[in-house]
Amino acid sequence: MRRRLGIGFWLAVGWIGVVLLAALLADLLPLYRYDETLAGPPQTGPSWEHPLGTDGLGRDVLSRIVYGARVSLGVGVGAVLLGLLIGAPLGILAGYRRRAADAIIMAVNDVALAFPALVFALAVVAFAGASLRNVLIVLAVLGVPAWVRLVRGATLSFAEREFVLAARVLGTRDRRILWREIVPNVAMPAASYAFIGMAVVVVAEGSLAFLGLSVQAPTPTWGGLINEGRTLMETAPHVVLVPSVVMFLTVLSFNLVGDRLRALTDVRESGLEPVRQVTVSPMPVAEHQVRDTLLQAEDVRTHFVTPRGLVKAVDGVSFTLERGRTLAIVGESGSGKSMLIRSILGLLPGSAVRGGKVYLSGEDLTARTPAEMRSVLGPRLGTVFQDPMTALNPVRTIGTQVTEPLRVHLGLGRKEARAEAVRLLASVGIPDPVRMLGRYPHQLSGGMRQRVTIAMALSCGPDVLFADEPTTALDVTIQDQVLRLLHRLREEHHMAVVLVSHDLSVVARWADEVIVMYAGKVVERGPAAEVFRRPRMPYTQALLQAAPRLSDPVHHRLREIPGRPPDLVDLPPGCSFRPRCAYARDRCGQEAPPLVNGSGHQYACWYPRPIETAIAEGAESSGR
Amino acid sequence: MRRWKTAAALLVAATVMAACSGQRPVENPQASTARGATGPTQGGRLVYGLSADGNGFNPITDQFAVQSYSMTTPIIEPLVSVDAGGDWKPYLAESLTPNETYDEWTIKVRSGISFSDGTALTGEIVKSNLEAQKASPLTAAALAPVTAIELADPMTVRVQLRQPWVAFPYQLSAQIGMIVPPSSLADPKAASLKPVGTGPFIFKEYVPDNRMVVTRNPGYWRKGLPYLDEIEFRILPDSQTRAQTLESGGIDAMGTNRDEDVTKFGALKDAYTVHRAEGMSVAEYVFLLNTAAAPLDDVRVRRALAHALDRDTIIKTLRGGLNEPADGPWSKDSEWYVDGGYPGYDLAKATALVQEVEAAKGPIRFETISTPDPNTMQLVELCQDMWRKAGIEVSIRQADQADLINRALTGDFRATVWTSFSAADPDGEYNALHQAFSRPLGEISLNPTRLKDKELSDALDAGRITPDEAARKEAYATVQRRLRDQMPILFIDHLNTGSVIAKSKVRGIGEHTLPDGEKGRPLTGSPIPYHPFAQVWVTER
Amino acid sequence: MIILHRLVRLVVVLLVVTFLSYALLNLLPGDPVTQILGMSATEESREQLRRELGLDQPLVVRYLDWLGGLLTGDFGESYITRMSVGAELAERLPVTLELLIAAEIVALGLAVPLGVAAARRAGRGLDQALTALSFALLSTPVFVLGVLLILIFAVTWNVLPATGWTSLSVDLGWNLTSVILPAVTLGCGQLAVYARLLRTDLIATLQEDYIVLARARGLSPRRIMWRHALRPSAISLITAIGLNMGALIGGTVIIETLFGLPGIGRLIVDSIFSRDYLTVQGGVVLISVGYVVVNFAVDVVYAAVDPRIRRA
Repeated sequence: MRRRLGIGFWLAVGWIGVVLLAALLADLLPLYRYDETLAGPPQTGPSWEHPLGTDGLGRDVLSRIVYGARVSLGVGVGAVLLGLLIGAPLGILAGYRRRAADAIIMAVNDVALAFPALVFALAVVAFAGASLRNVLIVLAVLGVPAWVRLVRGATLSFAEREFVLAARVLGTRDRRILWREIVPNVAMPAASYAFIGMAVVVVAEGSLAFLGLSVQAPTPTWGGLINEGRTLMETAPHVVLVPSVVMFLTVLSFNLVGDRLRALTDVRESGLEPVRQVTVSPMPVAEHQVRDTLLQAEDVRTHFVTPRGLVKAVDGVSFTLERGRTLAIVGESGSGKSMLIRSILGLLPGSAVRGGKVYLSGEDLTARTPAEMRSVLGPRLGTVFQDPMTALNPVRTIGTQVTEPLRVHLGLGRKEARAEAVRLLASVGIPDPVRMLGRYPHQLSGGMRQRVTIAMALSCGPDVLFADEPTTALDVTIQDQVLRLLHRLREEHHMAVVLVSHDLSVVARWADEVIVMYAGKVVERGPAAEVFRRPRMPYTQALLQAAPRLSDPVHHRLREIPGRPPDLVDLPPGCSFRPRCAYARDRCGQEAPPLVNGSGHQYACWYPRPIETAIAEGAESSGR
Repeated sequence: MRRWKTAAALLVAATVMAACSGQRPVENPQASTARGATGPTQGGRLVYGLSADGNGFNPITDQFAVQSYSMTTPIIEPLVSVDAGGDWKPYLAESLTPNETYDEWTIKVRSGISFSDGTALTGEIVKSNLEAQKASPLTAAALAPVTAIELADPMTVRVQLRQPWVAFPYQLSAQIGMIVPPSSLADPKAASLKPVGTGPFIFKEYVPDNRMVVTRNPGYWRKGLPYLDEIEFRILPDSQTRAQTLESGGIDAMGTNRDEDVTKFGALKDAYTVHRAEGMSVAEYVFLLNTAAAPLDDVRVRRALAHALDRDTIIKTLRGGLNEPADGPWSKDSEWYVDGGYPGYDLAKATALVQEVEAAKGPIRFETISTPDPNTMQLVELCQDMWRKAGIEVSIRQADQADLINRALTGDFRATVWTSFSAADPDGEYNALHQAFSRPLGEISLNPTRLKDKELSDALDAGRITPDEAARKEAYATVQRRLRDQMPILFIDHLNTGSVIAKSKVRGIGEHTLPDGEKGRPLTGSPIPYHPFAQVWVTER
Repeated sequence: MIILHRLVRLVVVLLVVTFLSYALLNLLPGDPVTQILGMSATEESREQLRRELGLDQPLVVRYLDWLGGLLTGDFGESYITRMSVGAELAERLPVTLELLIAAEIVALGLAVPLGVAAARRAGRGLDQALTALSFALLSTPVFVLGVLLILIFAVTWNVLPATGWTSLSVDLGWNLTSVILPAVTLGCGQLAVYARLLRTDLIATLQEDYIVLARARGLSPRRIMWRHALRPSAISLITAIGLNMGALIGGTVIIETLFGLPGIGRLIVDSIFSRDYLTVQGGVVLISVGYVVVNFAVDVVYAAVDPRIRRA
């Protein structure tokens, strides 16, 4: 835990602790009274008697800082919390309920935002007097409209998400949806704004002091201390410097702690954690021969150093691929197939460690720098990703996106690039391609978008096309069209295709060769027809059975592979599939099976399935 | 904001005007040494930093604060001026003569003077001006004793008074006596924005809250003046950045009341000259105490408050040791000053008085009002702590100027910071101290402390009607004694940090002669003083 | 239709805001008469002036009167300076607008590259340094920053004027030099907020599939950052700009005081203190309209930045 949070976190926690303790225990500490004038000579720097010096009235600066912490933290935290307490429910209500509630709340909000803050601040202070409570109320109320807007915006975006819509459709009670689905998600942006907000509030209190609207003198506040001290900036700079630095350290600490805590609770890769620079010696690469083939992967490994331990996402995968052929890589999610693709393309996140070699026409790609890699990506290696909804940039037109590689890599002019784009779009079967250029992704259907991404991948005439689950997110009827298209394009462009899927039955028809991956390793490989007809590894067999078929009865229970995908940090000894394998015996738990060679059809299993049973299954599914 | 910074200044300005045949202020030594061997030269431009904008430049309708005087006096001139000795001297007037009983004044207007719009200055115009002032709600109270204004001949105006008023001419040395042409009287709104007068400069440009530019009046009636071709007044409300602007060369001179500036620029003798206000023209920094409301209706409490304040320490801490402690409305170098009787710093006495009162009436607690600017707040906080040490619990309420004046007028306060008493003649404080102007709580009272003291009021009356110098001095001595005895006002110090700081190339600030050859009063008003510009000049350097 | 809807909304906001501020202001102790006459006038004089100024009328009558004038484009006249409020606002608006625009240029001009640099190296030294810088800027009040900047650039180096204002119509060069320091002072606080917002959004965007795919197409990191990632990450930033602009118009008072700029913020605050009701009302109208206009502009920018929003 300690290592994960980092020294900065603990320093920050320590500082906040010190400040909070000092604020709470101010009365017990051996300090001068904060309003004791002439406790020492005015405007003197730090000394033993006055560790932070004295201010213009000879008051002890340390004491004023400590007592000021009470007020400033109180105002800062209080105003933010109060603003949240009022603003967040209103924002959630407006964002979730929409319609009338939204209209009313936002109209009031508009009025509040358009209302001059100073008139309000002055009125409150003039009526109720300058006191801590009133200043807090003023600052909190002034912050509310911003909170409402922020929370409403976040709520709106989540209220549209699938999980919330699903819950609403299922008739879950609103309160439950709000608490379970909305609040946790909205909390994150709110928390991040809260720390900025706190700093802003503490400084705003100082600005009110500048305008003469702050707490009742001589109560010290950090902002007020800075305002008092600024006239002494040239003669006694410590009077303004000390509160500024204390305030800076405090808001910085709050932000740091908040950031780290959020990163901890965030299930997604937040990207906010500092990347720990791991020094791992380069992984040894097995002896191999560079072959005269289009694409050769040799012992590719991708490891991640995570807080929980080493994750071997890809663990020694080798294959070769010739022009005009399709290699299918199959496995469950998390089996490492997508990572394999990214590893080959050199598109791994910063925290990954890569091993092994990749050769394109005999040239070592792994030796290339990212910049050198870019001349290959696009012109020689094309890529299509799983989800066409997220694969296109939502804010750029199809035209800009399709022409971009043409212009960057091929150096085409604007006109030529457009003409080429039209041709490309037409070639992937998009009707009216000229009009398509001016449209945005959100205006297209999923199938159309996937055709666009394919067109983009093909734009520079690549030698190898990587298609990472190109059909998974699509309608069943569209799936086949897209696969057919890929096949046709392979023929036309005379390229090689790497087709990644979790569904063996989907790709079997279009692939020449199949690699089945499990827990980062190849567990079975061979000619597609062979593997499809005669799977030997129980996992491959299970994958085949798990695939839904059109021939299934309507209410047919979905077949699943029993058990859970393995935890890559904590792989079982021996065969990784053993815990889920119906045919496992003692030996499977002791020794990992090697990939055995049998006339081009390899499999890693001590007890491979007999050939006959598989034929029946396969024959049935291929008959569509 | 400009209104806070000068909160008190405005209050002062309204009553600045009455005169004093005060002790001649000591001439500033720095100013005189800075004077070069060569005489004044013609030409040049001066950029002059001011702390606040004026709220209009029409002397009849707009209340003039010190900065208003700085910007307006180069254009509009008064009938009367005050000389370096503190005596009134005719300016646009050729002479002012009272009758034997001092209840009629004859004003003879100087001939051969024209306004910059070409109109010649006549008795008729002076009469219309005074009538307009008499009718204006702004100045009506000050001119209350005036019963009639008549034209005796084309160049002579006669003013009839309800009672003898020996100090009347001093009233005409400021706003009330500033004469504008008939066009301005006819269109007061235009006159608020574009002042026209007989002065050495002509209005050129005004951008509110930013600057006002005036250029040389080629037809000015005082031959050979002014020296400068142009003056730009730059309005820079923040005192700190104003000083920085002077340092960076953005302005040539500025008014300030920060002791830091006086100390800092005063040390740089080669580069800057510092001109400080002194004598009667210096205002006093005070707390007004509401004598009509508990607990300050008890004179023992008022005296305890005074005993608790260590004025020397206050001056050392907050005025850079530059000011003199005050024990009355007039400073020691004034001819009106008498010594003795002020309850000075004596913590033991203060504590004893507090205990005595508390034994009878319970704890002493009250609220004091302060303007919210940091300088004032610092002073009030220091006083608050001194009072705490004597056992008096004082809380501080910040109020903006409108709120503060409103509370002072209606008596909705216990104590409040204030600056006052910069009138040239003691008679200028008449309204603010006289019991006739004291009204019950809730009513508008021009005497904010609401002290009803017959002896004090009689002395004020005597000072107003007696032409005899010695008798007047005796009367104002009584005023000082009664104030020190009754303590409606806590005096802190004479605000002579108010000063004008100029680059040494700027000459002649505070050095000027009046039309009849007397030396004029150098710097007037507070907290930041103003001065005439006709005889200011710049050297090539 | 949308325009009409907006206009109706503007009118409603204006009515509510102006009435509330008018009522609040009138409830404050003291009135313009206190300010004009100070301590020197008697109760009779005060009553007389109050009648002359129409302040003896009931509050609602005065408000409706003002509203009626507003419909004919008449903002009324300042009680204190006797100037036409419309003219006064017109004179000061360009100052504040220029200050705001310059400050936003400074803030955005620095925040975008800094946010991009921080997001690109999230968690590394540069990012952490920028985080520290943002919070340092956030914890430095403008009245300290302004004085510091003047000390450095005007007093010590003497390269920029410390204070003062030259109108754009008088001299462009002087105008620009006089706006630099105030704009930088005002922009620095915004800069910190903007850079933080942009960084957070960029980090999220950089994990999107389309960014990975853009890399798979061999596009340079620079191109990906500026052409692909920046625009979809700008929504929070634009929202913040919109929210701030409205509030800033009245909030520039400290900057205008420090630097001696004749702007709207100072006018409004001074007018509040002098109880110059009608001038304040004029400022309130300006801020409300400004807020609504800026937010309309923000919506337009939204649509330009993110085509998905155009649907709505």
